[in-house]
Amino acid sequence: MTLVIRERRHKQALMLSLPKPHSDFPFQTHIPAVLPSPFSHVDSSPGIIKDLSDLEKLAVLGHGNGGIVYKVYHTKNRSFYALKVLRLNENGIGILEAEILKRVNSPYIVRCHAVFDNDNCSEGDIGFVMEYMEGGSLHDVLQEHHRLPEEVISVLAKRVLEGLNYLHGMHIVHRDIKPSNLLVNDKGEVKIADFGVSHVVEGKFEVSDSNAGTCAYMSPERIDPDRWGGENADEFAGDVWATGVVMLECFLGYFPLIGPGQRPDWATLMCAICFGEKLEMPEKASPEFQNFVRRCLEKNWRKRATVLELLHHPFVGRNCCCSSTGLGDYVLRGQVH
Amino acid sequence: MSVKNDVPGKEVNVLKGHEGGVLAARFNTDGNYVLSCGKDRTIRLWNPHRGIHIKTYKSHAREVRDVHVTQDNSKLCSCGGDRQIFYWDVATGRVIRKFRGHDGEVNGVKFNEYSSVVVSAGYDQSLRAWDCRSHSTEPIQIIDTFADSVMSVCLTKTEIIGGSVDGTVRTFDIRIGREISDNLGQSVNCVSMSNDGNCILAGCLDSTLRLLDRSTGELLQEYKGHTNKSYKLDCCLTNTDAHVTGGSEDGFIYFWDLVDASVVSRFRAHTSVVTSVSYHPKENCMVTSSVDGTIRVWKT
Repeated sequence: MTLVIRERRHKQALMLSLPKPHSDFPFQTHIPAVLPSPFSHVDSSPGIIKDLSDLEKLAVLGHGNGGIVYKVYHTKNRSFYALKVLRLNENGIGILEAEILKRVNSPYIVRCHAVFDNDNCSEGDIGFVMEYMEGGSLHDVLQEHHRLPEEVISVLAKRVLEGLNYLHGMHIVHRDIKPSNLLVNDKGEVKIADFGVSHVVEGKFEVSDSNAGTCAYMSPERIDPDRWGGENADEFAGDVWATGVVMLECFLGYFPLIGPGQRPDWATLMCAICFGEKLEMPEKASPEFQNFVRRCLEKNWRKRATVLELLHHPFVGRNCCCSSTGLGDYVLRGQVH
Repeated sequence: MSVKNDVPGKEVNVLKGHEGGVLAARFNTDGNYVLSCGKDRTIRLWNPHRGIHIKTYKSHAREVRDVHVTQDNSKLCSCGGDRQIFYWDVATGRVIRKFRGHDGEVNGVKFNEYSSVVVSAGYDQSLRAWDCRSHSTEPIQIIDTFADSVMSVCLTKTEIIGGSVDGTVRTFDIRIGREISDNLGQSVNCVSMSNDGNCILAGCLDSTLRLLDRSTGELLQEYKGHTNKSYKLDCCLTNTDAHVTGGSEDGFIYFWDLVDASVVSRFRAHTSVVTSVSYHPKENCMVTSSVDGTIRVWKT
């Protein structure tokens, strides 16, 4: 086939190929392929017209963080994808997300198949064609089932930690690990999504916006850097803390750090996360799970467990053979979309 | 003499951190937090029930005289000797906006019910209203009918009420565009609304608190015993509206019966001037601040 290479007005955006049907070749991301828009008869998004004309919008999957996510169908591939449309802002957040997604290729991370900018809009939108996750998010699963048994949490924890291990190996800090950013496919496999506030660690003295990300899952050193040595903190430790909060939430069925009646405003979270008493472990939990959570929710980031340590933790290792798909039973019954 | 009722009198916490006199300490809407400000140019956020100093806010160039927080606890406004009103994000501690325009120190500041407007009271004899969401730097309303410094402001849904050194409490109905002026004959340095919204409590510089009926302007009661001649002090009603409370320049706190104005409780709370009193919206709990640099939490 002929590759059409032409100049873009928004050079900061990236061009990645859509997957070809029945193709076994790796994507050549350095040579973009432009889809032939003149032959399309499908209604396109007003914001993205030329580049994504073969994607048929079927439903809105969600809103958030300045973007909309659509379920889309690619007629040529006969496949479903999730199309995430972000408005490029002055800070270039969408650009950074594109840069991160370009680097990422792991079974534990939601796959990005293509990134398109929009030539027709002067302000600029950026569209990510993502792997479609049929089971929705872990947040959806918890809304339906409230709690998960330990054996399921164990598999979930392993998959999240494998994803973090991969990301951290590429110097990427996620910074927004929470149930709604952990997506589930039809096999019940959990993958990490949403790199809107993620950050590539380049050097020791890099200044980062430690306020990015959801307050509720922030580690002490991120929410109160002055008091918890946040200035020199290993940023990967923040992802570990968030993972611990998520796993405990899956066990308890509610957000674990504040009382049921408390409003989760920032000051309440601040008091709970930074000034709270020692966290009570649920009595019914196994000693392995209790220790796992305790190692994640160590307030002093220097003493907190690392991802590698947790991957070898007895809680994570114990169910590696029996229930490899983890959330399979939960997703099939609780399928959202 | 000290007759105990169900008013607070037992000290349960001392909040230390301000480096200098504390000019105001206020409960937030639900009573879970206290915001304070003072001569050290800082605003501080506290959990008063556990004695936790949560965060410090620094940007003011001069003393901070008043502070108020939105109902959802996400934004602050503050004012002081630098003639500016600062509008802050609570979580990040960043100044979102600065409102400039007062020709002198700004003595008081309040959010409206929807936290969309800030109203400020100034030494320049004016009240100004500012739109928090607009990009304009001009006030949306200037009220300059006072004859002297405006010391204090409080708000209802449709009215702005200011207390002034000129001896008046003025109510501005911003829907109708009408002003009502009540002359107390003494410099007013604090105005506070009763919880039922029917009365205004005014602290005056002749060591007297005065209770006004809002609909008629009638003087309902006077409360005496404390000393207030030289400082801007606070006064307020308890959450049941059964008692009036205020500080004194000698460090004492007074509680009066609302109806008969008898002193039901009196005790030394601080070693110096008590600059502010704030009553918990639901519980029998109060915080006081002082020139002695401390904030104290009182319960029954």
